[in-house]
Amino acid sequence: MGNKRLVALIGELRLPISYYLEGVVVLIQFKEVTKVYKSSKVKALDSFSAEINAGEIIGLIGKNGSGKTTLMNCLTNNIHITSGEIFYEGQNLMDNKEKIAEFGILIESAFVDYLNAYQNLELLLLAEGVTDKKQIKEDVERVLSLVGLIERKKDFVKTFSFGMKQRLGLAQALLRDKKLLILDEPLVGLDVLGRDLVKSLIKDLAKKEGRAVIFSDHNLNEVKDVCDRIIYIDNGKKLFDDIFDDSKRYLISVDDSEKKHGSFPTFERKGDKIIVHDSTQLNDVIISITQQNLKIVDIEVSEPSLMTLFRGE
Amino acid sequence: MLNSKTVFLIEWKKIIKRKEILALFSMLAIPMLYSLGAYFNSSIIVFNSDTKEYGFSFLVNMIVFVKMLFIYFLITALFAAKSLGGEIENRSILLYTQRITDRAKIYKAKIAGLYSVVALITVFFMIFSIVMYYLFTVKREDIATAQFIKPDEFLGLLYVSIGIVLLYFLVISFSMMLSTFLKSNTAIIIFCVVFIAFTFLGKFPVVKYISFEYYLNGLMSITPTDHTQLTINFILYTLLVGGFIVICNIIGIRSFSRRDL
Repeated sequence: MGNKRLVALIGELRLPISYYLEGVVVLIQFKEVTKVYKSSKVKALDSFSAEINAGEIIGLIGKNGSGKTTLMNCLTNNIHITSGEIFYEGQNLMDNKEKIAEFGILIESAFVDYLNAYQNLELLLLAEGVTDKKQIKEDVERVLSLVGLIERKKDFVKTFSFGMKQRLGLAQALLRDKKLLILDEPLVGLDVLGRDLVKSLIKDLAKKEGRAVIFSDHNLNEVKDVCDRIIYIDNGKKLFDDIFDDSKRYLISVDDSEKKHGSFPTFERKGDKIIVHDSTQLNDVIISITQQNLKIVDIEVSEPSLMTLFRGE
Repeated sequence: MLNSKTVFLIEWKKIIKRKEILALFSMLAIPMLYSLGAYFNSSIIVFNSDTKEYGFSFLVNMIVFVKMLFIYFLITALFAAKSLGGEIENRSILLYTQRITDRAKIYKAKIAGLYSVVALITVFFMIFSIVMYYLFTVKREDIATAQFIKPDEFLGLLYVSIGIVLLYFLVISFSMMLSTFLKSNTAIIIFCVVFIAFTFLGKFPVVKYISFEYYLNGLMSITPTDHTQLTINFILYTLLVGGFIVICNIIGIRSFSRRDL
């Protein structure tokens, strides 16, 4: 294999090379996490279990009020879980809360609005134990440049537009080297350039630096673009957790299928229909069916999207 | 783990940028206007004491005057409630709770920061009052002398001024505690009701003993030279207010640490 081909292959890998060479590094593990809000008695999370690996971008999707933000808030200890456990690098997070400081968090853009952008970030660095003024200046200016706000560093946050506040929120999450980034709708309010910037930033952080990212957005195409794996939550329950395959597929309905499908053990089925993922196999499958004197009732072309998942189809 | 000093520094940097500080500094207008009024023989200034004012008595009178204006307690309550409750409401508290996971540390730093600010403003107010007295009031020889202290009255006046500062600390602790489980505006309203109720309790038999106002009035009405009675009264007052402060702080820390943000 030529070097060029090898480089091209590495470029196509969805996760950092260490992931493939050294195996999966589980960073976060949710075990049967349940959250019931005392005031409303609402079960916002219902026995939620999942794993998040280093270098992986997880897309968290679900309807409004499905439990996405609650899940993120449980991870950051803003909300106390009712039962279950969360492990970070194998240790119970609730017994090692100081580890939460290793997460970069953008759940809701929140700022001390009577301070300027620089001062907001400076205080956060102090809160992370960075007291060296030169280091603070370097870090603050680096992230402000990264999100395109360096020119506005002396401006009060209350004068910022919504999009600028989103950028500053992202700067807060990226201030220091974080092993896990928790980004709740980081693209909301950003213009096209801003969205592209943030998306490429997220990808770079995961793929080049091996950080795990939990990302949520209501724009399902953005989620599909950015994420390696999708977790779909509804009413606090995890309904889907896998790499989302949106490739075209063919659904073949065969007459009397209930009786005869046993003769197609190698074919994947969904309900009464045979699923064919690859158009090159379609002919072979049709020939196999017709050779058995079965009648094909319908061939349906299906292009699954996150929207079908979202609608529960 | 971040040390308490750094957490205090963070809170301090936020507190000193709050606009309520400017409102508190407006209390400087009181000694200034009073001194100027006296200096220019304004008819608004009515002096009805048998003895002449001196530096320290003027200073304490100004502190008592400010105390009588409920507005500064209200501003202090607003200051305390907004510095925690406001951050909970606009979610900016999350930026710090995610980094400083010991919430009690954040609460204590906020309390310490607010106490320090009020203490510093008080010191500044005292210096400013004395400067105003010696620049203007002292020129009215019919009502003021250049003397600074009368040794036999010093203790009583000192107790009164310390007592009033302690009352500000109680206002901070109480309002901040309320803001851990109420919206900051609701906390302010509850503060006003409770504070006024406690002030009036001092006028009723039996229950007057749980009112700070009863002991504070006592400090101001006891003969300034009766040091024993003054000291007993001051100790009782300090125990009462100090007790309330400790209870408020404990409840506040527990409530803030346990609540969902």
